[in-house]
Amino acid sequence: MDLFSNLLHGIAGVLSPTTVLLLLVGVLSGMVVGVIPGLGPSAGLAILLPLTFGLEPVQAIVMLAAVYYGAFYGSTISSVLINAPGDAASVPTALEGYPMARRGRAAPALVLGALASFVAGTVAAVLLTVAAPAAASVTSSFGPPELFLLIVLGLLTMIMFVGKNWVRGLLSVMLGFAIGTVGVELGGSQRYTFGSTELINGIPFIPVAIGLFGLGEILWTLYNGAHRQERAPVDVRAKSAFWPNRSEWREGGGAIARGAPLGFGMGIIPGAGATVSSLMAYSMEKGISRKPERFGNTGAPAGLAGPEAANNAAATGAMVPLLTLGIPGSASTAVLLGGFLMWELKPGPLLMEQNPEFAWGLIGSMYLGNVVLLLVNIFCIPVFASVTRISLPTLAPLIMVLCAFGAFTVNGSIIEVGIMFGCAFLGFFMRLYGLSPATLVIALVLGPMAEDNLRRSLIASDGSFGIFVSREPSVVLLCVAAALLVLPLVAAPVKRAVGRRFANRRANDSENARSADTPEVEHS
Amino acid sequence: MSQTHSTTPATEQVADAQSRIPEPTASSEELPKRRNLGAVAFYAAVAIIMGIYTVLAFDMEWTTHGGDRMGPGFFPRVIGTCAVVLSLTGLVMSLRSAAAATPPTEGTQSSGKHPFLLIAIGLGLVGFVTVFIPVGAPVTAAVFLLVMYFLIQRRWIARRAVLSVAFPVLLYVLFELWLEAGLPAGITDFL
Repeated sequence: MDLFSNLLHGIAGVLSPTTVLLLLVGVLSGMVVGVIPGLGPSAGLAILLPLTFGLEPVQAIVMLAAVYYGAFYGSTISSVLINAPGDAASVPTALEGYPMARRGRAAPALVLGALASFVAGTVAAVLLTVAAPAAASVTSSFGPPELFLLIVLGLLTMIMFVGKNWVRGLLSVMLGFAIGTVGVELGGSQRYTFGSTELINGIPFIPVAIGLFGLGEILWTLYNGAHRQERAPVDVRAKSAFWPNRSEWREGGGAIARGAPLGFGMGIIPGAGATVSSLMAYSMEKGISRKPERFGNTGAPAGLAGPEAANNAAATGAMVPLLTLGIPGSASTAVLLGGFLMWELKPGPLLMEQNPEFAWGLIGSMYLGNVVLLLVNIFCIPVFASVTRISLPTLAPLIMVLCAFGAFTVNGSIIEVGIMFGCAFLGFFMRLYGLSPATLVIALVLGPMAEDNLRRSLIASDGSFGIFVSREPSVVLLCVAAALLVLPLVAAPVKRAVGRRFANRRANDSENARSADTPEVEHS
Repeated sequence: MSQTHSTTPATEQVADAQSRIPEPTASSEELPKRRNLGAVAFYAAVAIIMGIYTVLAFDMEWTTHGGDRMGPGFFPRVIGTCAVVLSLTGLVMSLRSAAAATPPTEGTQSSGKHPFLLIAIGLGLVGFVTVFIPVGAPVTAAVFLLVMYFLIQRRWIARRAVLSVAFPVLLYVLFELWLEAGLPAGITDFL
């Protein structure tokens, strides 16, 4: 019952007219950012973060959370209408949604995507309501060794699952850690400040995040010549009906039911997040489909609805480690964590006890936000479709100026604006040469936490690393880490075996087809 | 019932599609080789910077004076050493792929990359930071926007000129009135 009363308190807390208005503004801003090709949720959050500086913490985090899931919805629109996913998690949506739009099924594809996002977002919010307090009660028994291992585990997951090359992934982590060591350390010594008073508090997170995500993505898009490309959006009012037909509902419904729990489960794992869950859902839908040949060709509603549900559920699932451990599971939640810390809120096992109005207000706002998003999506699809007509050359310089003003506003420091511009180019070069800006940002947040927890662990054990194998939860986490390391070694032969099996089956099929054809030829 | 099963995993198709969807490929025939040499330079620069970082880390203490606690140099030394090793590994990988780079076959290259645009934007951003405080936020932003529109795309220039003036003013008012941000007024201080 506590759960329901807490949730009701949370929802009641965000029902004030100002907070609802900010929720609506956040949802709309997030959708607009998500619709702009090249800008994903993390970039949107980083860009819009400064606009929340003048707000109360609860209002600010409600607005930012609305931007967060609004951007996920927004990516669906650009993926379906102009074949330009805002981020990697929306790639399956583009693969299936755009062919559907080309067949005159743009509006049904968008409605299906919106419904998948709504159902998965709401299911995930329910799961979050149940899982967050349970996880908080488990993690409240975690000490520094477990927290240190969890951080390592999160980064390991990110390197193993998200990156293509572990050397580059690990190097991105080390760069993030290195940036995180600048400033006064916990013992009071200055590191890498070179006598600058501006660097005593370390390299600020917000300019780095805005630079790497917001501006870095703009530079990357311009470098690739997006300002020279003409993208004609598909007309959502063209030809066909607005609502999905019966078979699309049927296919999409099953996919949503499978995608939502899968996405939430993947979202909880620090480092896995929306992209991995979206791709897994896509693979699963294609694997179980009776007509897999439609995937990526004519557009399969299941291939659109499953990944959409999975990535939205994962976005909410990523809130579990953020709220209960203070560990961001994705780049977007790392930016959210930056916001939390800015408002002097420390996410972790005690957040729900010490700041219940904040934690439950955030969870409660997700229910409202999903309803608002569904209504906005379904009834304003043509309006958001028109946003896709605003060209990147018009928007890019405006975003640069917005970011500069925002970065200056944090501490009134022009050095931080310079750091942001520097990080924009760092983010660009990292993308160009295969490193991961998202991993760097997460490592930047987690680096000082990892050092702090390692230091505490070693103090508790008088400098012995044996503490990591002397406690049961630590041993479990070490086993999971070991399993993660072994996984690629096991996965490669399994993948090869499955590939061989598919190849053999296909060879048999074609042989059977040939033998079936041959008599006909003879008869004719 | 005949089913056509692709042996390519769906995730790989997605990854292929991701590179296919928003990004055009290289313009010049030399680009792959240049990209590899660029990667060599990038990893070399990272290795040098992280090398300096590591040298400085070794000037910091490994343990505290009592010898029982982690010193300020513990974490940086571990990070620096790992980063140097990893960036050198990246450097070697890039050198190998630079040596193995073959000239692209005809038809694999389409529209272009825009390195010079990025250099120009970089110079614009340096100028922005330099004059932001003395000249003031609204004027700096307006001039920056005009220059950027001129560089990026010279279409609808009148409309964009209006936008270049209106947007910074609006943003300035928003940040000053709502957030009380204390943006520098510079030469517009008299207003």
